[in-house]
Amino acid sequence: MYQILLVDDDHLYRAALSRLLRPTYEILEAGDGLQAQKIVLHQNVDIVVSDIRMPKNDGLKLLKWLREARNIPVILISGYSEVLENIQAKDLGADGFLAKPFKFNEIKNMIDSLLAKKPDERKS
Amino acid sequence: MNRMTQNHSNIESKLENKRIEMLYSQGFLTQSIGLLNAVLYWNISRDFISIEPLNFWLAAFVFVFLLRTAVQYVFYKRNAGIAFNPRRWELVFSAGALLSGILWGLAGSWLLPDGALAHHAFLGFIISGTTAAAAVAYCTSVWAVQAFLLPAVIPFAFAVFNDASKIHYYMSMLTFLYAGVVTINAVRLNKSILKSLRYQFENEKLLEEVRQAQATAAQTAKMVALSEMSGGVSHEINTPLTIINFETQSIRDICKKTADGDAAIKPITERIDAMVARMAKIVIGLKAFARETNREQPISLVSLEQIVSDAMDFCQGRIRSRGIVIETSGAMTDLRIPCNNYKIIQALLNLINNAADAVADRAAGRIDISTSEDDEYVHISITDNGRGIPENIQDKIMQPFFTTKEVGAGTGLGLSVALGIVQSHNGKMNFETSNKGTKFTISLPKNTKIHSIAV
Repeated sequence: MYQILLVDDDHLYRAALSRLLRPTYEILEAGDGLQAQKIVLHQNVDIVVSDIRMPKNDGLKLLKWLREARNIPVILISGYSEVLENIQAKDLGADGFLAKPFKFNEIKNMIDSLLAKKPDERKS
Repeated sequence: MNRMTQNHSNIESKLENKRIEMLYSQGFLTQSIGLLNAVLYWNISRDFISIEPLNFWLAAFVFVFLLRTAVQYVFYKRNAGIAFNPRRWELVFSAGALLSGILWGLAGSWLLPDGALAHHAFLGFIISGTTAAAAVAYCTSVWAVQAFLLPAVIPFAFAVFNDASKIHYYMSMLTFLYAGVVTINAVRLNKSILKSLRYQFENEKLLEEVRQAQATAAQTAKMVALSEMSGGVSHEINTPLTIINFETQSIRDICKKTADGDAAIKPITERIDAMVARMAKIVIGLKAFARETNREQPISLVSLEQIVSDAMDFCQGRIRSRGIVIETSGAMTDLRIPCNNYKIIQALLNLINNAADAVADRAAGRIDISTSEDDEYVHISITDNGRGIPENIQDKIMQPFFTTKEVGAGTGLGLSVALGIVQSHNGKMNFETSNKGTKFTISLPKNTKIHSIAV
């Protein structure tokens, strides 16, 4: 099973999204960028879905760090400014971008297609 | 810059009109006093010289008086205000003053009895009194003062100079001196009155500007407060909206497990989706507004092609899913323009969004984005084939919060935000509209000295 790391400071959001993803994927959760970094270092994370604005280490910093530390696909989520942050996310090399509010299908499709591109050498 | 020149010429033309208005309004009283003086002079002089030329002179005086009064009350009053040419009316008035001046000059030379000193002194007294009164009354036009003063005074000064006695000589010298002094005073008075009139008009203008600036400041303060609030609100609302989306999906998933549950909840979840979409749209409008009013953004050289293709990336999926054709065309070479690309993309997206709404009820809705350039500007046009903008709202569409969309569908901020962005780049935004569609054009200068923008 692929491991997905959900990063968002809103635990109700994480809970709702992980409940929907759990049948298909293994879900890890982090409340901010620093927690997310620790999890990435100790777990085999296959894809990161992170909010941009968070109290400690925002999503853009997390993305920069991930680009240097690990080659993991990253989807950035913005709750604020879709155009500006979309361009910033693109410039920093995010693999996908979604602006809140989006539907479950949108993120599900994005995750599926990014994982489909990955060479499938991992456990099922 | 343009507006300043406009204001300046406004004051100038107001000043000219006021000057001529004062000239005519003060003229009648002076002319009446002049006529009274003429009658007195006629009465005194008829004991000394033959009555025929004197009668002829008085008749001429009455005629000129009537002529000038007619010009003032019939022609001037009727023309003041409509296609009013101040210079022409100053000339007309000065011509009338010249006629009166010549008549006094005739009295002081042609009708001057020989050797009657007291009589000469009396005439000098009358002429100087009349011309002094005229110099004050006509002070808003130096031309009118001179047209009256010189022909009235100079012949008398020469006439008495020719008389051989010492007192006549002094009288002549004093008359010349008098003409000089009155001229200098008239010029000074003219300057100071025009100056005070100018101050008056400038003060009125400034007061009006202060009033407008206060109104704008109050409006801006409201906008800033609103934008701060809307930025925070949109951030806080989007996450719960996303959660509602997820939970709706959970309900669907659960109901799918029972045979009839799925069909039963379908209309309900669709309504929830529609409400979330509606709230999201309002939040998008508020977000755009908050962003555009708050942040200062740097200017850099950005490729026009990149801007248009970025804007297309953001919107074409959504637009095409509504069954609308959207295409780009034009000379999108490697032209680079100084701008803040995020802001320009935002402005384009707002215009494209409006275009999409304009063609929403058309069977073959179409949006064309084209680019072109001239020596100074780069133009980006967004053309739709909607029904056009009704004439009665064309001057309102750029105002904040003006919207034709139904309640909940639009914030009324899209165009005003786009206009603000374009203006902050020293650019222009125009539109052409007919019942076959609307074309909005953003024109951005190729060269600009601004380094950052804040809308």
